[in-house]
Amino acid sequence: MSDESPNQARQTANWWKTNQGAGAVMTVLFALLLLYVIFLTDAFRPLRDGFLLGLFPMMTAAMCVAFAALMLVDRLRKKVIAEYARLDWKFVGFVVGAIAWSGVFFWFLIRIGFVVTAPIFMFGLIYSLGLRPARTAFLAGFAISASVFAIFWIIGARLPIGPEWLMEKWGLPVVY
Amino acid sequence: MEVNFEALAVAADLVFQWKTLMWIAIGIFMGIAGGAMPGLTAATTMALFLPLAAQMSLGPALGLLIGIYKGAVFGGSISAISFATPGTPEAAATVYDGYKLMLNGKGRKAILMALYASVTADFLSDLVLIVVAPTLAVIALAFGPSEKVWLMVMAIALLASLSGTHFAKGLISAAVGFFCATIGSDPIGMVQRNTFGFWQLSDGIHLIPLVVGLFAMGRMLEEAMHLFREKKIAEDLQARIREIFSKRSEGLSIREYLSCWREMSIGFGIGTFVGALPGLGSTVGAFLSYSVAKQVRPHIKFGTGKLEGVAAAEAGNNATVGPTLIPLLAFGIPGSSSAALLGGALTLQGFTPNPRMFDLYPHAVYALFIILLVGNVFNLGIGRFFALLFAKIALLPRQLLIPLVMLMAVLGSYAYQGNTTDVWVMLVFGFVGFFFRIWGIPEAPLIVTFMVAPMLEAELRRGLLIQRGDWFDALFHSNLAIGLAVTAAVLTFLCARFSLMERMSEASEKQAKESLGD
Repeated sequence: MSDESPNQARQTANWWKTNQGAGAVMTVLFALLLLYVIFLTDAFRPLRDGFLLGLFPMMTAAMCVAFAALMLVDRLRKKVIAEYARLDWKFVGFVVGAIAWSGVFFWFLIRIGFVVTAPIFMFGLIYSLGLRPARTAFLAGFAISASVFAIFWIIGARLPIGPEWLMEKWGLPVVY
Repeated sequence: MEVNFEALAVAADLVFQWKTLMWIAIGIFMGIAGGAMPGLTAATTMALFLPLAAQMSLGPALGLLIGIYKGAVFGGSISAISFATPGTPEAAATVYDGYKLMLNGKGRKAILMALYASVTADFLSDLVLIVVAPTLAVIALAFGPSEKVWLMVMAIALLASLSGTHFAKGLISAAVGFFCATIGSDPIGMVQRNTFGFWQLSDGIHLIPLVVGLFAMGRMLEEAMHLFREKKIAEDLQARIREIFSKRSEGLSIREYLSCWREMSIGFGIGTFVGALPGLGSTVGAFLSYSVAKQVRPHIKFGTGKLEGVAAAEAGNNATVGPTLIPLLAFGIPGSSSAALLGGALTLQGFTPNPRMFDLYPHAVYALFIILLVGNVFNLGIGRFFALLFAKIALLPRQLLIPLVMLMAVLGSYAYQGNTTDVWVMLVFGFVGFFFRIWGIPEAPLIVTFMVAPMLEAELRRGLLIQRGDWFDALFHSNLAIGLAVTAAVLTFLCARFSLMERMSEASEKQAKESLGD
């Protein structure tokens, strides 16, 4: 059982949502980056003009650490960041999910093409953002996908249309 | 600087062809629509279309992006006036009087005033750019490596100090941009560094996936958070918009437009000055113009639904559009994220912005100038006749807008060069951009520093080579270099010491409470 009183626990929870809390997270992340640059790259290798290969990367990573650490001590350190304070784990899950969903979409896009993947990707996002009923969400996803495809086609940007084996079988271009 | 008439003729030929004019019109249309939609800013819309612009030739590419920029800065006022929700941050000052006018049944009048004030100030500020940029470029040609280094440091320091309300966060953003620019290879010897073990990164991070991730993907993830929180969707907005644009609704007379000349002049003057400085941008231009006009003309009673208030705010934000390109064209240093995106588009076309650009590619610079001027005519026409449509577009459900932007972000990053790594990089920066938004870190310093850093490193190393490795001589070679270094330090200190942007933000919040509270 924790010795922490509910009030203390609330204060700790709130601390993470302040500039100081965000600064602490960033300081740790940037410090790891600095360590990576110093120890895992050829940072100290001299170039032909005498400049160290990693001088700028080390300098900029050190600047990141220093400025993040500045957030720990500056005048605004106790100020709660409104948006950050409202962030909950459920939404972090959504963000990670949306990024992963975009990644999965792209992985399939270059393998089986736009025509199949884009409407499914769009339906997934539209439905998860709360548009109901499912049929409306799917139709909206299909319409948006078709419009975006038209824009890219007009401009002449190259996109994979469909699965390679099928397009070749039908004598159609895999990428337009 | 003398005018190169041959290049001017080439530029005119480049602009006045149906393809370029069509893309200017499309850009203005997309820009106003994007600006009118709360959640999409000028930079987001430009970032989203940057991969498409990269596929086009010079004229259409510049037409599309400049059109989006001009359209978006005005477009924000449509939703600010129609339903007190600024489509873009720079339109927030328009809410004070614009929304009151709307409540008094004069919404159409307010939107037309916003349009005319925007176009007037924008046009005049473009002329300032055309006169000032070539002159400054001539001066910049005399700069050596040490002066260039300090000029870049000064621009970055100003941008970092003035981009947000928290000094440290602006600096963090600049430092992250600097670090990202070191990924890939060093700018002189092309030796690989900082690739995190991925050979795909040996060419560095490309600008397009970086900006699309930060501005489009990151912002949409934040918008999704708002959507989850705000369940309310105003059903009465459609009816209200119909009311604004009904035949019975009062238009704007020439006399009313001309009666606001003082406010438009204030907006033009302040907006032009603010736009030319790195870091401040159109939001500051709008609020500062509004505040000054209010002080100068107290009898007008700003904030009670006055056309003068709309004119001052809109002239103030649109007057920054031209001058924000002055540092880019004269020194090769973008002063804002929108300027950085235009600079990126020029670079992708093979015209890297620098002071020698006026000598090396005069036709490209003249084409840019002509498009800026022609864009105002399109802005006026499209804004005037399709305002109702844009007000309706502004109500596009977020459930559709967010997935649409995310789809365009993935496809745009891939279509740019058919490189799969670009898409993964874009997704990573989407995540970074989301946390930047959540932590209140401005993105502009990151983008600008990312673009400037390779130049800064190359100039510093060139200076060191010239001075045979003597760091002091390389950095403080001339009185001008010392002067620029001192100015950079003093400006940064003053911005940090007096919390300039924090005070401005507090003042605008107070103004908002005063105006919308009663």
